[in-house]
Amino acid sequence: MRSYRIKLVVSRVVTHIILFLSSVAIIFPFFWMVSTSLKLNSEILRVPPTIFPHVLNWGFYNKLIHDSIFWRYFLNSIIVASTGTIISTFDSLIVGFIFAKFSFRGKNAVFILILATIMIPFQCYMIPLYVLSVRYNLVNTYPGLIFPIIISSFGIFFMRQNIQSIPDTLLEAAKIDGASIWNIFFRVVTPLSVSAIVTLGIFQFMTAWGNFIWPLIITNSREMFVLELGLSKFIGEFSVDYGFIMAGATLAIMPVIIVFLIFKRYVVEGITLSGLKA
Amino acid sequence: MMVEEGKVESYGKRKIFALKEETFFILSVLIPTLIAFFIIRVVPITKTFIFSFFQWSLIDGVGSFIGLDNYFTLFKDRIFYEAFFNTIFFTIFTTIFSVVLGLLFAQLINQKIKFKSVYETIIFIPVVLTFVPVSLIWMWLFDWDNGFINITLQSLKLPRVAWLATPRMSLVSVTIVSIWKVIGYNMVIYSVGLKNIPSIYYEAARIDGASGFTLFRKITLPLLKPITLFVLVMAVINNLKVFTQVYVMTHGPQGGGAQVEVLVSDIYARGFVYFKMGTAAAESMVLLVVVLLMTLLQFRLAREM
Repeated sequence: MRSYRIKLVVSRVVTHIILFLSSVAIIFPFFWMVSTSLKLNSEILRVPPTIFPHVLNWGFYNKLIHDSIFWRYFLNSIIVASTGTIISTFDSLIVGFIFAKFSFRGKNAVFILILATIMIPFQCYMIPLYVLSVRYNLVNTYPGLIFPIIISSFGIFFMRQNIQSIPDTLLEAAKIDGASIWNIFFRVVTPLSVSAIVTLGIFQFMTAWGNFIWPLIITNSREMFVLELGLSKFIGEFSVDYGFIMAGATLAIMPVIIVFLIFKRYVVEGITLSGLKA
Repeated sequence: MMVEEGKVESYGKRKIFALKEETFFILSVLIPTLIAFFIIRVVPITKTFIFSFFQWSLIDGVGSFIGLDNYFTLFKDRIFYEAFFNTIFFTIFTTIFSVVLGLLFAQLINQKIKFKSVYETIIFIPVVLTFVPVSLIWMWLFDWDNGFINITLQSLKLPRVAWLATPRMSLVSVTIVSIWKVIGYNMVIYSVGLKNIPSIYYEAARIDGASGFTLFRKITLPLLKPITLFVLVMAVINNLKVFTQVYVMTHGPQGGGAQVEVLVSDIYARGFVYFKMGTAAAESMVLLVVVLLMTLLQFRLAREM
């Protein structure tokens, strides 16, 4: 029994050592990013490097905060990601409701048609989408940035799965009380789907926020760049200015990390469990 | 689309009115959605397929039917093969390392240990970030002169590594970054799977004298098979579509001679830099076929195992 105990303690210690070292290695790039962004240029290039900045230098942040184009990138990202998220999540909810609780001729065919496109990568059909956008003058516009993300096969599937678990009797009771279908949708289905809506919303928002290839194609004027795209141009413009680039990366990353730490449960579910249920 | 009796309405009193209301509701929701689906998905996918057999450039529009010429152009092009094999290399290594490490961390974390949620949070953080800032951070770490990694190597009396100076090494560097970013995702999914394995299985096996690696091989792995299939399919599909980190880390003004081509970056270059939409469409179809084949293959393998 005693040897078993010792073995257990040893295995615990080893587990902690492995996890601790891995965590340090995984978190180190962020630490280094923040640390670099707060150093003076002379200190950034010092060999051997200093782990913490000797003198705190807010210069890079000052420069960024007073750079209106950087805020414009931020604003563009927020406009595009939130509009896309609101439309696609609402559409998924209401279409999911139809597929979960109604039956009509052709229902399966329509559902399969919607689901069939799930596997097809966006990169495989972005060219005709671009040609379409050129024809309708959507280049360098918000509608052009947003329209490819207003529908989501996965969202519809996810909402259908969730709404199916709402008991029919609840809907029937509302029906007997004289509620119209829209009423049932807004007063019964929506309140009962709040956690699914939040989960899907976070998933859609993060996907939209991280989109890179479509903004790269559809915008070419700096005023319309989203944050991801604007940030990627930092390298060219400030080729050796790693302090400045790291300050930009820090400002772009911090909101995401803060949201993640506050809504950790929803974020983890949104990114992973939603995939698992599919 | 005809509306039959709906589940909601089947107990309704005013059947005929209810049916009309229901039809109206379904049509007013489904029609806009379906129109959007056709415009954003179905038509573009069909166009990519059809126009891959036509002469097609952004400036001149769609020209004459040329059969398989776009595909022949592609298959004669050295850059296409480079992009193809780079994508395969990237997919294989990123998938294997991220899945194995994800499973390893899930195993380690799935014990009653202190700071469990701290470890879990830290390992998951890279997953929530986007690839552009992540690429920038790693470019700085990989910097030849002042990057932290090379300076550390030097101080250990090891030679510096030109992480982003040659296409081959750049591909390796991009792969490392991508593995680092996705480990947490696989870890969390595997954790869910591990929690669902009843502990009684392990207890029974322990009584029979099994231990350590045998438990893992005979109980954990077989029971995790559906999860592994899911993780693999997701990883392979996502990795075949790799673009952002490759583009930011190797195609920028700093990329110089170390440009890495993958399928998507090659599609992008053909379509949006050289405006050869026809060849780009053909390459898009190649990507689509690879994605679908890999998915089918994995489902087939899973069924046979």
